[in-house]
Amino acid sequence: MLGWGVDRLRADMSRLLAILFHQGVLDEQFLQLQQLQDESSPNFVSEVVNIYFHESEKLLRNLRGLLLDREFSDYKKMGIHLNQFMGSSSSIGANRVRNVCVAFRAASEQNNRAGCLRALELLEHEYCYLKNKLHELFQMEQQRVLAAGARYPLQQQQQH
Amino acid sequence: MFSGDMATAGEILRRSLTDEVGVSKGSFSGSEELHVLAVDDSFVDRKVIERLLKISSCKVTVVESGSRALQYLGLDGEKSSVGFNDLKINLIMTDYSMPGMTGYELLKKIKESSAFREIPVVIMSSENILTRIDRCLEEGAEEYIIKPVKLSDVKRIKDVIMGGDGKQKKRRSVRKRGREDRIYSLSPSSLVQSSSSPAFDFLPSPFSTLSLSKRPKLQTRD
Repeated sequence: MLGWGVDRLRADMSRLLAILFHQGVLDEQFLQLQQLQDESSPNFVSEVVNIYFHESEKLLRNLRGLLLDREFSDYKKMGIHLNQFMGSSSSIGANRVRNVCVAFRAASEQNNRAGCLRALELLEHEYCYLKNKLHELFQMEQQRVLAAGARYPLQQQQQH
Repeated sequence: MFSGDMATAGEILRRSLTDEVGVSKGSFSGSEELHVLAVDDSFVDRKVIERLLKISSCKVTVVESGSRALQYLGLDGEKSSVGFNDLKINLIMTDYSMPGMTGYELLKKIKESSAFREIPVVIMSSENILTRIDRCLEEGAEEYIIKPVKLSDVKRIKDVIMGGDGKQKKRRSVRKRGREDRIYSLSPSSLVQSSSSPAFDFLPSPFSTLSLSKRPKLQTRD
């Protein structure tokens, strides 16, 4: 029964990934990250993605803080945050988040505060969606690893 | 939590005198691992480039800024009787946009140094700006790669560096990825370093490896 679970989980993960690629949420760079994961670095993808989440949330807080300040005028600073966000998003294959950053940056370069506010809202939405989906993916992966361990009880017996 | 090779600000050490002495002139003897110095202010990118290089069998030192890189190379102006002959760096890969010192400024400093000017420097950037690319190549950058950097980029660069024994390999013309060109270089590299002509013509010339069928989108920013 657990063996069946492994195959099912793998199929579910593939399906989720396919959807995310189809939606443009992820692009080929995410596949590149997966290629960098192996026995010597078995958690590489989740490690990088967790760094990305941590940094992104900092950047989003900064952006929000800048924009909601009544006396805000430092578009240059905002541009710097956006460049960072764009760069890291592109590095992990977060395609839609990156695209929103591009639009956000354009609004920022025009000193268009209303446009920036709209872009920020969209950015937070896209980021949330990405984070939820990637968490789902990582959870499935964890379950798959667990289930795969239970599938081969002989290996576990050797540990006794 | 992360592999020990990543050099953070507090962990950069100069090699001790007892280490093997060898003058780093950029040429690669072929029997050792390529030692790459990677410079990037982004934590995510540092993690990725480090992994890309390690999986490609390179020894990696990663730093977070141009000034840290200069410190590592011993070019930070601190007087040292030792000199930098014990460092063996075969390649430097640096991000362009960094706070403080840009990758371009770092490139200039490296090319101005007698000890390190022969080391190939690759610039990485998410921006496809022709004037910027132009400037970097003219200053002596080996290549200018559009991020995100991929395994195939690292492999190609490694092949170029390790194959550089005087015989210039025929450079492949610029690969197209998606809608835009991503890799820019001038071939042969000796032309870049010895060039005195002010403007490189990216249009048809025996030395240009820029693909002409797909011109990169010119951006007016910068």
